[in-house]
Amino acid sequence: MLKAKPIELIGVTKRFGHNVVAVDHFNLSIPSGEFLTLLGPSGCGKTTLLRMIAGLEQVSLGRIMIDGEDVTGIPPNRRDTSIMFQDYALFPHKTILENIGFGLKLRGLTKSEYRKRAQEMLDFIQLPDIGKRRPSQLSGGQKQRVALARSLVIEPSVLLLDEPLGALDANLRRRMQVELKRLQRDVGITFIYVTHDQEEALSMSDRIVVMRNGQAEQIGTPDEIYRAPRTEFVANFIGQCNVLEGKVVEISDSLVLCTHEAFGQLKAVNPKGFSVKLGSTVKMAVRPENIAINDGARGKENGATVIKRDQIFVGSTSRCIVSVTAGMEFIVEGPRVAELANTEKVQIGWSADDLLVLADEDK
Amino acid sequence: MKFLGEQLNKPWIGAIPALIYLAIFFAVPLAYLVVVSFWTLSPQGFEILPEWTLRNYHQFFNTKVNMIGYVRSIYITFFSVSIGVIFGFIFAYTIAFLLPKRFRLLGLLIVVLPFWTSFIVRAFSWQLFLNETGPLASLLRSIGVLSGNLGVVDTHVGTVIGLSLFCLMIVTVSVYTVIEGIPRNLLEAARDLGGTEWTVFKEVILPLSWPGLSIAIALSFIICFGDYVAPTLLGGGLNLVFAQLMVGSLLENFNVPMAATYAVFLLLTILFITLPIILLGRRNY
Repeated sequence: MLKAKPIELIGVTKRFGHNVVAVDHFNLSIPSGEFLTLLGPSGCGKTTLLRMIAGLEQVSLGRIMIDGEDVTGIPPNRRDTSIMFQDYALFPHKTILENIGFGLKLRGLTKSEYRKRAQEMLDFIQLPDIGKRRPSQLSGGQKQRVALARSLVIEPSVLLLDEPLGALDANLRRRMQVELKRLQRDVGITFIYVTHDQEEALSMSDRIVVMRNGQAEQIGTPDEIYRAPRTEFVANFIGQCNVLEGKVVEISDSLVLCTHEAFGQLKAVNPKGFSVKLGSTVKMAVRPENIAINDGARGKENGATVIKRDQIFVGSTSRCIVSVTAGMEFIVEGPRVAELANTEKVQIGWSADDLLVLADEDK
Repeated sequence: MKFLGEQLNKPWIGAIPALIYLAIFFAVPLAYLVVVSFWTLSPQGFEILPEWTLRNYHQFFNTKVNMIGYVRSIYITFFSVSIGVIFGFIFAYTIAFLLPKRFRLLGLLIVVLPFWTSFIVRAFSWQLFLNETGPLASLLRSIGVLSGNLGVVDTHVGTVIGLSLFCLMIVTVSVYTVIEGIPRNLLEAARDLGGTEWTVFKEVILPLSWPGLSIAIALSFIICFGDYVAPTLLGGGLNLVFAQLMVGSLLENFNVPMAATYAVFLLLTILFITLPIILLGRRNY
């Protein structure tokens, strides 16, 4: 077990030039040993944030603390972090053994010492025989592991991963997800993982930060983020959501009552994080898998009669598109939707617990 | 569609035009030159007689001026190439790593701009500018920095300046091409793993630029060692370099076989120095 350290980001900001703000007053504290994922579309500032933690990018404003120590101005070579790049950045002119031993060599270990440690790392990643090869002779998955070994051999307290599985094919990627997660638990160090792949984020992370425009849109466990997306952006970025708009007519402790032109009255959960104003227009979301059809829809708080339009084959389950009104479509998911015929009238319904009021995005 | 060479299972077919060219303009004339170096000059001194002899080689080794000229050429070349490598590398590095992308081509253009005038014109202009009665010497004397001679033209300092500027351009261009292509995240990875700016240079940039650098060194060596213009215009006519001895033997003594002997040594030297450099510079990854 290596020693994990907590990280504190205080008002971290990155500006490029005068107009571009890549990361905007970002605050986050990451406890030691956490697997934290920065998730967001390209250009949301996740990689820039990661690079600032590594020290590869100057911080325009704010502070980065590792284990209570301000490292904001410290160059990357004197930080207790190690970064793994998407294309692995293995040195093409060095052998695999030299690549892995590089960090140790720079720490003053003798050739025989660092080669011995590098070989141990190769055994650890279960590629004991590739030490003499060059990076160009390895497959993508092998390179990925070698890059991981090169980062881990210097015993960082924080490992930064910049879309490390992005270049692998789907099959290998899923296997590496499991492996990475297991590895993180075994070595016990803090992982900060950057990805735009929501499935990857959900399956590996202890906590996810959904980023947008250089800010955290929502922070929470995968379960929280999936079940209770705070904004429309999060709702659509993580999985799929049906979003609808209604006017708030009544608010109780646990419920918000809205009117909707097609669904009539809608009952939604009263959100905890923010307050809803009476008379305002709000957006609400319901997951396709939480919508029941026909018999199942009976007795649900929300619902309407709709017409089935299209079938979407997704393998493990069935989805279909239904039209609620002329301009409004919904996605419904469930084992029985496949049985429906096209243009058939269907009763859909879902409970108040499954309808979430979304926060305004322009806070 | 398969190419003809592939269809006939003779992939070398495509190399034929180039090989014919190589034979007519390089291999055969060069072989003839080597042969001539073993022939004799007629007693009247005008004709080459195809009589085999080692006399030219004896004479070559027994003339002290030849040895001096050879060594002089070696050290002039050594200094010129070294200076060119150091400054060319600095130029390539600063253009590739410090200049914003949109200015890099311009930066490179500035360095290679002198190439657009012929070497002899440049050498002549330096000769005019740097000679003892030229503007630089006069200026330095008038502000009291210099008393006596500037000592550039008519010494081989001038030759080294002229040749090293040539090497600088070659090194800049070929090193720039390779280091521009080094992925930046290799440098970042090296920094991240604990490297200082210097170790990153030593461990990553230098080895990865070696393929371009070695070619530049070899090319610079070939040009400097055989150059006749710079030592003649800038180095004065008294301390002769190897190429001048060869030309002298041709134009003053009309001794063609002897000149061919000089040429053979020139070629052998270039071969022995540049071949290992090029072989060492091959990418092995």
